[in-house]
Amino acid sequence: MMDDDMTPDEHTHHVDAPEALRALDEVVAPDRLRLAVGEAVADAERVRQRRRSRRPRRFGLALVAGWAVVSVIAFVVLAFLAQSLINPSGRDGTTVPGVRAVAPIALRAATAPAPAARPGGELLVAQAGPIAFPTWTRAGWHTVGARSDTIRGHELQTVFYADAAGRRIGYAIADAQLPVGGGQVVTWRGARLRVLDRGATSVVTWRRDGRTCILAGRGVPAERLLTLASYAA
Amino acid sequence: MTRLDPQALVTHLDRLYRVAWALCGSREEAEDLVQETAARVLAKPRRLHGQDELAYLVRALRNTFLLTRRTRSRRPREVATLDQVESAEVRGAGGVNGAAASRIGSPAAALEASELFAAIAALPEDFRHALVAVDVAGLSYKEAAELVGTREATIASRLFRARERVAQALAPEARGEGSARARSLR
Repeated sequence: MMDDDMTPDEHTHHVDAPEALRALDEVVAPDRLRLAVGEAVADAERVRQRRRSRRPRRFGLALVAGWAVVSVIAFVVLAFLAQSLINPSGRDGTTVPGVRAVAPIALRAATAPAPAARPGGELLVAQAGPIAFPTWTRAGWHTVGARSDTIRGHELQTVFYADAAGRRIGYAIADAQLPVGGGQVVTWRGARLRVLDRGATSVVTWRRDGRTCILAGRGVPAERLLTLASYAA
Repeated sequence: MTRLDPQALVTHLDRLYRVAWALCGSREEAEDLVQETAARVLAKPRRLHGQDELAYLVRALRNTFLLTRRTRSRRPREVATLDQVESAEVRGAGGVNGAAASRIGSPAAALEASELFAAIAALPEDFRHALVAVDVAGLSYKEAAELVGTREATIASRLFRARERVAQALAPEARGEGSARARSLR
């Protein structure tokens, strides 16, 4: 019986929440989730502040109104042009996400088991287009999982690694050249890489075979990621 | 009309994570669900329409859960083997229980939480949503009724039965054991 109204028995015999339910209050979000949400909120607030600072001050509204219409049209045209330069459309007409938007995925939880190594032990069976993921076992990192995501029509393959200290990094490869700005471009062991430091999170990105590679880790020095990236770049 | 402060996502993160875990029954899926919800909420300014911040966010989380579940049900289902589950869950030092324990006190407490979330996730959908809204999210009966789209009396009824079922599921005899840990869950 799935009667939604309370029976007389239910009115007279109230069942309190089981004691165990109160224990749930002790469960808190993991650090990586806190970090990812915190960064997403900070990004959204930065964008909003930037928009707010662009708004014209209201003085002589009648006079400004005419100019505002012209400005809005000009702004829309410029924004469209800038957008098409910075964020070129993808194959299916969708906007290409930026590296900064995609990087938090490399810190998410794995949804698939760790891919096996190929004979020879240097590469994994997992690959993104022509790029096979490395094992990095010799560098002290072992694979712990993987995941696949589709972001605005673009495929993103990620393999997760952990070291003996339990630190975890994610190596994500997107099937397009994702736009990226800021950070610092460095040449590390002959490889040209870009470092995007975001507080406790380090992100290193580079391009290879028309794809974008992103290596991210929390609590892992950028130099460590650069060295690993230089093997893969 | 009040706008949702994006910082509310950070303020209520722990509660949203618990709600997500209770809905999904899996820690990993809960993390994804919370991140997906945050991305949707932050995509544009949100107006609260007189709602409480938490009620708004729980509604957004529930809608995202229902939407992603519907999308997933159209895709071919992936079946994980026990080996795959273990390898996916053994992350960092101490594996899943070790990781959870570091956040909620002790391995025993982590295990209790996992069992409890599993018991909630196994409830029939109507009961689960009532219990999650009131006991996990901490919404009032009125807010829970608005969230689920039903009457307060119906929420009270569903909650009564949901609590009863959870208590039964956590009872030692239901789990085939009589340990002190099991008794502490009642």
